[in-house]
Amino acid sequence: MTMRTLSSLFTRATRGAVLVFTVSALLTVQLPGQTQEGGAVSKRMLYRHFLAHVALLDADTKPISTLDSRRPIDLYPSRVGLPAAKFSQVRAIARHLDAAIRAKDEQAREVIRRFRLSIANQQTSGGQLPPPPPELGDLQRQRDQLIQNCLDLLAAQLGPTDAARLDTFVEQVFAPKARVQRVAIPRSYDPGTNPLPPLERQDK
Amino acid sequence: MTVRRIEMKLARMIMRTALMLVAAVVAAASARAQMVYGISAVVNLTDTTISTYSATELDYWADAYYDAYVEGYLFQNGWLYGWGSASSGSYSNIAYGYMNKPAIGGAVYQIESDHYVVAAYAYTDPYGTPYFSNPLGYYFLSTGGGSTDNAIPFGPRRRTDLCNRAIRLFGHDGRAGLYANGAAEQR
Repeated sequence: MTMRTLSSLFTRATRGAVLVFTVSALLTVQLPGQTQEGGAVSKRMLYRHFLAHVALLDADTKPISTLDSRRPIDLYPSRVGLPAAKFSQVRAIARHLDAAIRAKDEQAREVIRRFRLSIANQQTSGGQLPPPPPELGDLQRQRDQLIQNCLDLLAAQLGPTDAARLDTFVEQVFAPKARVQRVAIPRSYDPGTNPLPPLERQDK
Repeated sequence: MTVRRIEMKLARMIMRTALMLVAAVVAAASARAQMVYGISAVVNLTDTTISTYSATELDYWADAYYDAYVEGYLFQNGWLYGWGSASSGSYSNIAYGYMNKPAIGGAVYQIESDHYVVAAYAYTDPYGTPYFSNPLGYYFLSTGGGSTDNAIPFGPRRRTDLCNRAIRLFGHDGRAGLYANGAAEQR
């Protein structure tokens, strides 16, 4: 193979790679301050909140009324369409997830508390706020994984028929209109690196 | 090794590098999502009992700059039947709560939740005018109406404590409703 062939091949391949990279970057990175609304909430988040509702009701010891001593959580299985024994597995996983998420949130809270303290000066002067600590990324991924693990466990314990029944309830009955807003960090204004000319004035 | 094989190997190596770069960009974009979730639910547990759920949840990036706040309004045949609010305070990334209420057969129930982020950083200018920092540029996304000042708390803090730091993102249109007899209705 000649050097010319090699060089030509390398140039073509590099151009292709750069093109793929650029297009992908444009497709995946939001513009600063850009907001996306109305995206579908993932199944994972829907379940996270359904299980939070179950955990809340599970902790509520009040009876339905003075005439009915059952608790609201006791009514949930028939609404979902699961036998009480199967729904007790849902309740156990809801309690487990609630505790696990609280522990993870405590870890994140400590990082955020330190971050907030560190920028106390910017807070008082109104200066630009720094980006969040990168370790929050790891904690968020761990949190997402906790939820996913619980979903997998739930599906395994319920079996395909009951898991499908619960899916239908969560997606079509519990929160069919759940919404998500996503924004990118906006570009900060820095007169030093991005000087803007003065605006035209009417009284000139 | 033939020339053709060397060419193929080289091309494969370059394409692999390009794919890794693409993966890195996708990972970077998704790793800093700054998500805010607004969830509302109303469940007819029986013909005579309903349960609601309202939540505003921030991911950890958004939580670095904001607290969460939510208000839930339950309507029975279009009339306000129950309401409540919850704040994450500065110790959590979720504001959530629920209401359990007796239901009447044949009535229509709807839950409406307003979802807020609350700026954690406030400052005053030299003249004493208060401002809040909104570094992620959240703004109100959807139109809607309704009173927001008379909610009773699910949690520890009332909206009146939030002053001008609360930014309503969406609400009063993400409406889920149901008939007490079990027929679901969506608007």
